[in-house]
Amino acid sequence: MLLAREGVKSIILEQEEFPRFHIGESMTGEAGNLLRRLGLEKQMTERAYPVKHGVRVFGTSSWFIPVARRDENWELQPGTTWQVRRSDFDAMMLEEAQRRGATLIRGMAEKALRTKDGSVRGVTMQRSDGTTEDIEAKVVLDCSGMATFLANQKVTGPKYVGRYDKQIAFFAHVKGAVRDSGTAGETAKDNTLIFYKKKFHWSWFIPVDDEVVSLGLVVPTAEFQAQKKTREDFFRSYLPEINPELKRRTRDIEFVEDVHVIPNYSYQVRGFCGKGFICIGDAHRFIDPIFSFGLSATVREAEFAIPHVIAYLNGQNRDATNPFEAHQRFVEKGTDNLEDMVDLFWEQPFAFATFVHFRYREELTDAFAGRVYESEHQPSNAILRFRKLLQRDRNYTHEDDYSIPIGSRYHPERASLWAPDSPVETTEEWIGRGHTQKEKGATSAEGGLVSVG
Amino acid sequence: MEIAQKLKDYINENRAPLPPISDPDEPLQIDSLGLIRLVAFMESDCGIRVEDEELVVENFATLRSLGDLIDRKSQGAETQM
Repeated sequence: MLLAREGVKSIILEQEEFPRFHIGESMTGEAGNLLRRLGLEKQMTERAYPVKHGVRVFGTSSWFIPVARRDENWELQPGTTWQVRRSDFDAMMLEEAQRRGATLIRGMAEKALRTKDGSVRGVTMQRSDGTTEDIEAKVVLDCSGMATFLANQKVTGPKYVGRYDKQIAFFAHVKGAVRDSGTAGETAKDNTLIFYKKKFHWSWFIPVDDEVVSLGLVVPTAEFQAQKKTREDFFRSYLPEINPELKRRTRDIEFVEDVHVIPNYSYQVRGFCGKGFICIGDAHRFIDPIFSFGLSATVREAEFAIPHVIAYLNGQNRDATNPFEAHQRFVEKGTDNLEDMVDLFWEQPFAFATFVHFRYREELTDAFAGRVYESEHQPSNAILRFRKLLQRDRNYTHEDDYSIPIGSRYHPERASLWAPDSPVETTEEWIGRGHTQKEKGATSAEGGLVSVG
Repeated sequence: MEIAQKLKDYINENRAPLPPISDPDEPLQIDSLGLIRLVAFMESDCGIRVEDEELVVENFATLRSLGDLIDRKSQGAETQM
């Protein structure tokens, strides 16, 4: 849609038939604002997507983070965004993209087409009948999500395992979950609720329509393995243990969707932009679902990429080693800010909560709304303090300085944050001991791909 | 360990309906939001700035640990003078 607005003809290569189930249901404020900029607010309202006023977090006590927008004077104002059933929302977006001029081709991206100098010049696609066809494109936008198509094709740099790779996420849709009943603010009925039990054990509660709630359970994989249950049994039995408030709200639930599972969901790809390609959102990085940044990061990165794509199509930067390096650095800086937030939330929850509610209230309201990019006054003092507490530096002078997971076992001087039986509590302590570990790969599945030309 | 009376009063008011603390090693039993408000009170009403690095629940576990924190900060301030 954004490309069509600039007069660019694009092809969407999609292997899945829509509608189809997909996770990633809660938007940040800025994701909602992007939909408004695309003129989709009326459709979102007509389709009655649940309206999110903020996030309630339930631990030993409860706290609320409102959705807030920045006005033209950069003053915070109340805002709202949406929760979406992805099967419906994604179908809506695909239909709208076609209506605005994109061409949909049904098929699976099989291979990246390369020129002699290594530039990406399109993809080979495979149709459902097994036949293949080459699609030439001046720019390929990899929107394949966790399938990380171009990374798996080795077009990008290495794909590293992320900090939360030893977590596992279970999720399902249910009826009968008890929501709040307000029409706005902290007790608005369609807010996201987050519940946590202890470090790395938490749940999400996201209304996706008037009756159905998306429930998620995220725990260390070792917890699931130790209990030796099926995914369904584990989900049903462990979910109520996360928090008494969650137990109360899910006492009479009825499952309307199978229990899905995604293990090892945390990863990061280095060099995710280059000659003829840009990886968008999950196609190059996913940290953790705790703050609902996934869908937001993806749509916002897509918007940020547009001027760079247009410039490239107009002949700029064609000889650069990485014509999209400025975009790559910009995106990575923003996502690193998110990572610092997630990491401090787990490592020093009291400091994090004090920052959110008292010391850096406005800055963190921005961050939760998805305003984490350089053009949005980031990194803020809050993020810089996070880094100081986490004892980490971030450097972006050269491509080799960033897109290296903090605490990842792939980094030669660092090691994974935690092993299930590790006596070491934090990455910072582990780093201080100078441990190293050897390299390993990661894979995942499904998705679509956009070619531009 | 010296804790100003108004700080003790604040803690006891916010522990209600639990009785006032008499044992310095008794857990304060204030939830996370209450502790954040305590930090805010210390800064706004007692002139005690809790540094980011000091925002760990262990410093607020008991009156003794809170007093030790305040003592350390006072000694640190004297050293700088």
